[in-house]
Amino acid sequence: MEYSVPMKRSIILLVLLALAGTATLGAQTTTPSTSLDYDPIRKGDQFIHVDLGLSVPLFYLTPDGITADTNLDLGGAGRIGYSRFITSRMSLGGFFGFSFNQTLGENTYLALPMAIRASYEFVFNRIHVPVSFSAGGMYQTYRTRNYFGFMLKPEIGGYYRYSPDWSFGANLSWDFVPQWYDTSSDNRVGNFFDVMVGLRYHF
Amino acid sequence: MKHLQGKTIQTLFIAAALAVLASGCSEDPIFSAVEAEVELKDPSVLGTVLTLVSHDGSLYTANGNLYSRTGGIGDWRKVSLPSGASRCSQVATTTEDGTGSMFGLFQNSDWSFHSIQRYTGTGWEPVTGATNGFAIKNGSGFIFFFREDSMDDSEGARIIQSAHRIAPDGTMTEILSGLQYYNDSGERLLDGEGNYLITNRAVYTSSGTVISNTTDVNTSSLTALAVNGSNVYVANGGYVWHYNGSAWTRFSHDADGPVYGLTYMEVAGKRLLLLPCSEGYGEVLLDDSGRPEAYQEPGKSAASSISTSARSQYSSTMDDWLLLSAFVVTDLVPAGNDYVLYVGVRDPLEDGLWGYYSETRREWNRE
Repeated sequence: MEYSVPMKRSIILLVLLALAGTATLGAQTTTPSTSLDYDPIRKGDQFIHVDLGLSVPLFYLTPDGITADTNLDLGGAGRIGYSRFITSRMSLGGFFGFSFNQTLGENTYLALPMAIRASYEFVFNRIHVPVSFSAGGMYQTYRTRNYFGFMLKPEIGGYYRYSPDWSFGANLSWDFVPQWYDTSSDNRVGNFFDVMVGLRYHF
Repeated sequence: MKHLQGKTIQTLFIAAALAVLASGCSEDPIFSAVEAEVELKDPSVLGTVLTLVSHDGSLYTANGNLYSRTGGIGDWRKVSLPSGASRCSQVATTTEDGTGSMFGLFQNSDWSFHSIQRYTGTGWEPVTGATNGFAIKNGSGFIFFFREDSMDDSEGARIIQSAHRIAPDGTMTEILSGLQYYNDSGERLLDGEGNYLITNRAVYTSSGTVISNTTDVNTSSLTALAVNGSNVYVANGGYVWHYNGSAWTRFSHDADGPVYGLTYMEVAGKRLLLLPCSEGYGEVLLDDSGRPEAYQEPGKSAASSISTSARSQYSSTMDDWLLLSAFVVTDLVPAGNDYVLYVGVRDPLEDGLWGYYSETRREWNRE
């Protein structure tokens, strides 16, 4: 089929008008308004954390007062744990860990703590600051001796939320480790300061 | 990870907690024991120490090497062994006051018997006819020499032993022979001191006469002997028997496990027996007549071999270890001390010779 020149011009003009009309109609369409509120932590969020660091022996509380000569050297500590947020800021969980210190008499003091942990997490953009309190038990061994007693552990941390899945940071904690025996003069409360760096996997 | 349920993790925590709780606890304190620790010296005499003697103004001990300590002070120094010998396992003297002759039991590199030799001060003289020896002990004017005359492996180690005296001039006299030990039964030589020696089931004089003429002593698997003049003491894991020259009495002790030795101690107003055992050593206090009257752990009272202030440090060291031997030295001691205690520790980490000084170092430490 052949078109005459005037006919061709008319078709091109109609197409252009149609396109122009479509564009005008599109510009007149209104987009529905949405709002996105970012919530860094939601109830039900969970995470697993792994921490490694140093165990600093501080002093013993004895029946006669404080003894700063613990005869323990700077040691190592680590733990792995799990927590779940029961609100958008509070979490409950627990952990297993270890710590060890060489003694003056060339022996090793080894402790294996396990505890439940309650935390409140302050959030400043990507910085999260968990303040936690743990209570649990600690299995301790030294030479041929062992002891299982309770422990308390307040701590504070600082973590950078690198991605939705991962955060990393550090935490400082204080361990209260009582040892009670039938002979009261043997009673001691060990005090340790832990400094650890850690990773958290969120899911 | 999403499928990791809180309940699964909870279960894991509880299971692990129960496993740890099931592992039990000891009653011995940890932090207070650590608090009582002392900085340890570098060890100078490692390994198995069974004997320590005083001879000619020096102390001698052996752990494979032979060591001396001049005047009982300063360092322990190695003494040259006889030609051809690789080890010195034991030393013994003919008198315990340091004036007698000293003999060594020497071994080849495979720990087989090499020789018994007398120390001349500059060298060694072999004892002729002394073969297959496995122990030498301090005697009174002689040393005891225990010999293994035969051992038949094909019959489950039937062992035949004999006991001898070796005089300072090297002459050897047989005391007992034909003692047979087979499949954990029979009679075998264990210890000797002064004018007495013991097997596992009898006490003999150095001439071979049985003096343990009571069933009670003779059937009690004796392990150790101590002698003070006419007072003879023998022990096993539960009792100490005392023989005053005419009668036997029995005393029950609480030393832990087998008793590996028995040492008489009389110095600075203290009179007691030391019982090295599988967990440190025990003490049996003696009355004025030498009769056992009480048992106690070291440091429990002023009558102890160590100061009451040293008890905690003892508990954090010796009390956990097997002790093979104990020695009380009163003459060759550093100035200011009434006595020095030495013990032979057998422990994977701490074995060797340890010492306690009555005044200048009231703590146990490596020698």
